[in-house]
Amino acid sequence: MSDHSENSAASASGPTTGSNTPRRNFVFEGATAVIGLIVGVVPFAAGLVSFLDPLFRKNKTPGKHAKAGEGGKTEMVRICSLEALTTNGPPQRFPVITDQFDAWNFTPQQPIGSVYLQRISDSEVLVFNTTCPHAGCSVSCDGQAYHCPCHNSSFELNGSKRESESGRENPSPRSLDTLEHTIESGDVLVHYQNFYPGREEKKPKA
Amino acid sequence: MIKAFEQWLDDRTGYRKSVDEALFENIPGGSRWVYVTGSMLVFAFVTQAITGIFLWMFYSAGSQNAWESVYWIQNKMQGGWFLRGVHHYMAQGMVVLLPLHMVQVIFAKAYVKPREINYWLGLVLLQLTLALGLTGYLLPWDQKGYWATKVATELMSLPPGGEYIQKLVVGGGEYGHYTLTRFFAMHAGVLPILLIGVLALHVAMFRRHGITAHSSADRPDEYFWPKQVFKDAAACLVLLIAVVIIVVRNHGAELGPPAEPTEAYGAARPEWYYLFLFQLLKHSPSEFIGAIVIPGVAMGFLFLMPLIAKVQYGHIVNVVTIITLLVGAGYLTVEALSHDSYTRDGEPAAGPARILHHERANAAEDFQRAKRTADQEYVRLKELIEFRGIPRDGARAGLVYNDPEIQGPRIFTRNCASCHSYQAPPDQPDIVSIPGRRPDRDEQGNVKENEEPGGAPNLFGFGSRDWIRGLLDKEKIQHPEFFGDTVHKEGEMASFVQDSLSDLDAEQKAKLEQVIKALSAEAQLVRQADDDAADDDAGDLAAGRTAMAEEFGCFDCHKLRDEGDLGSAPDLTGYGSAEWLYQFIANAGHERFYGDNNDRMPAFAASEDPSQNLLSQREITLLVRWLRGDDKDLGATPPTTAAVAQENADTAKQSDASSDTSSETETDTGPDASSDTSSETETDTGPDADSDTNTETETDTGPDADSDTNSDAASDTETDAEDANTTAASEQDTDPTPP
Ligand code: HEM
Ligand code: FES
Repeated sequence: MSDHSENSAASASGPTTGSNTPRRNFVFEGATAVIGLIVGVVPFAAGLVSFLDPLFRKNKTPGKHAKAGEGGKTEMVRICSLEALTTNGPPQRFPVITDQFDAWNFTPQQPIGSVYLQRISDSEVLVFNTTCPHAGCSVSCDGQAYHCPCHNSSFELNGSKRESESGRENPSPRSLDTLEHTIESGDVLVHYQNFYPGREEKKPKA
Repeated sequence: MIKAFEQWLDDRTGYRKSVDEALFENIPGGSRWVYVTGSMLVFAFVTQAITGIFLWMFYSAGSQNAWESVYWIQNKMQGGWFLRGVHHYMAQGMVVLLPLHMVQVIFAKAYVKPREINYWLGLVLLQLTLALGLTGYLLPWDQKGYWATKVATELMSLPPGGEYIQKLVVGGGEYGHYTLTRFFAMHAGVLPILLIGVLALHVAMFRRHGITAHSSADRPDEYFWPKQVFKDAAACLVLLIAVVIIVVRNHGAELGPPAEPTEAYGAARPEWYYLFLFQLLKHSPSEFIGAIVIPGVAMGFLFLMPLIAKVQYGHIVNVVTIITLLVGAGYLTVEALSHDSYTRDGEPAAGPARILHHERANAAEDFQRAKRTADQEYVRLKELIEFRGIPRDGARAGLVYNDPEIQGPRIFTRNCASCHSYQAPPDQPDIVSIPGRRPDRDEQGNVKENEEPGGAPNLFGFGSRDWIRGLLDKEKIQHPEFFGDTVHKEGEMASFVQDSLSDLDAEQKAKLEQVIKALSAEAQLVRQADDDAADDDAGDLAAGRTAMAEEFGCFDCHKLRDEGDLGSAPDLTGYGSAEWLYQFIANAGHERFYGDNNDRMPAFAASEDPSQNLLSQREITLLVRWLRGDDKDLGATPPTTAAVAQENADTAKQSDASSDTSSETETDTGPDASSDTSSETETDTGPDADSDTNTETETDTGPDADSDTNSDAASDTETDAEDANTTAASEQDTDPTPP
């Protein structure tokens, strides 16, 4: 960069009277580089901070809807009454209805997902997230087993992954995802969570 | 290693040549600070592009989303206020730099042969930047942006064929979704691309011609790099620092309450850099001349300047003209600002000057009040959002429309303020007062003595102890704050207060105080509930009622509960309560109130047929709730655990109700609902039910609504859950044992 025999189109000849031939002038060059960096980075950084917002966002229910235990314990959502389920009947699908956040919109009591419930004794219920652990499709149940229409994985009624289905390997890396639940004063309450699909380990999405 | 890579790259791209050409361009006479404006503009634009593209990631065009998404950027998104602030103020920086850049070019005579084309390109860049500012200002869809832009696009329809242009720009006859989608596409797509294209040509041509400057003996030539680049960079840094300081001081850009197409906004003004056009319009004989012809001629002149420069003294003419234009624009801007901050101080001597003075003061007062009201509405809306969240139909339909604290003052201003005022005492400066009627003035600008009373009482705190204490004060009752500007000034109540309530001894004064408490308790004001309850326990209220009968003889004219009769003076039973106030507004001339003694108070809803009434049930209810302050406190503390449990239980009951629509969830939507002093009021009062549609609210919120067996007007939670419930219901069709 020190050889400038060639001049720009605009100037037929370089600085002629010049004390300032293109000799390096480190003070100016250094200062210019630093300032240039600052003015370039600031607007970009301002945007980046907001762009990263989803990684740090914690939704807080608005005052009127604030849950008694917000911020502390996990939230249990009522799905139905235990009565509604026949002991050893086929699994039934229920929507999970709770508060929904969609960026700026807050909507109380919205379906945000669904679960399969099967009552297996007087006081015991199996609870599965209906999302297929393979890649996130929605499984269905024919009363004998759970099937996923997307890549044909299938699961026993107890949720465990079937090894193969008519000779093909089951693509699901794990069994159906069970959900924490309790039965309280005759109601089935579920802690609804989604999990990352496609891996053996059942890791909840935050 | 680096050298080798540079060589490799240069062999393939020849980049060194271009870099050298850029950096080692000769500057005759050396680097100068005045040359920085162009680089600053490029920097400002690049900043706008970067921050704009980031904003784009969070912004949502659409009339139910735009304001809401900007609100979220501004208040909830990490660093969002800063990002938006930089975009907002850097835009203004660009607009400030444009004329500086232009003046520099013209003073340096850099717009003449052979640089005419580049000068014209510069003018195109100016227009594009102004268009970006105009389109961007609408995007937040708040009151100020909406009305400013609306006025600008209305003016587009003035030239022949303008209606078509306007329709195309607005995306239809009226402002709406398509206005935003179009403006957004223009703002973030079309205009920036055009600007980049023209800017590229502008810079390329600048590089072809070089800078217009002359070498001289004492100022040697220099290359662009590094000294000029340093100066440019330093100037950009100064600009950036200035913008950052303003952004931090203002905590980002201002956001007003959401756009309200039906609510005229008294503070509608364009962005400050368009104010001169706004002001010009006021001085012009017609809109067409002020908005189209004069700016058009000025712009045309700017375009012709390189040609004008060819004639003798042409350059001088240009310089003088550009200075005149800028000074003129500056003057108009200052004038516009000073008109808006005009005060009533320093009344000139009687005559036309005095009339003008008061007209200006009125206009400025209205402007400032509109601004303060908008600020107040925004603060309130923020509270509502913290309390309820933003429903899916948007902040305007979902929150603003049903909120008494926002709608009350609006309805009052439209319907009541022609007589009544709503004037908070000086120790409550946060409450924006609504002045009542302004005094009539004669041709000299002097206040006319009215033969006829033309006002009505100040309704701030109506029904409260303070208000009643004032009414029963002989010093105050004949003041315009109370009956002073009504026929009741000379009425029986006023003479009663004058005659019987003056010269009270200590014991009587104590009794009067009990009367005040007892009467005010009839209003069942939320914020007085604790005092009322305490005084009731202490026996003061009963004592007050006894004193009304025995000591003061109120029931000679008035009725209160079982005592006295209707017909000669307003009923004091439930005086100031929601029901009383509702019925009073509906028909003040009713026998229960003023009867034949009614002064000028119109009957706002006397008819059975709603279409005949001046105000709907919804409006009166909002007005009443606001006057009483029922919703002022949204329940700063979250509902108690018990309340939440109750709410959950209700919801549960609902979801189990399968197809049974007649759930008996009780909904108390009449004005009486307001007498619920608990924090749950929010859940079951009609006017607030977030997602209630207009008509629904209208039918549910009447004074009689409490006797209605309306089962469908559910609390908002339930309404919101409706579709959810339908799903639940159908899913549970197989349910063998319905609860
Ligand atoms: C590539 C270029 C640009 C993009 C992608 C862009 C994008 C945006 C977006 C998404 C908004 C809405 C967000 C908000 O209002 O807070 C906005 C607003 C705005 N833009 Fe731009 N913009 C660009 C360039 C410019 C330029 C060059 C100007 C300069 C005149 C400008 C002036 C404005 C203004 C005045 C607002 C309103 C800011 C406010 O008050 O909220 N924009 N822009
Ligand atoms: S998603 Fe279910 S099998 Fe692939």
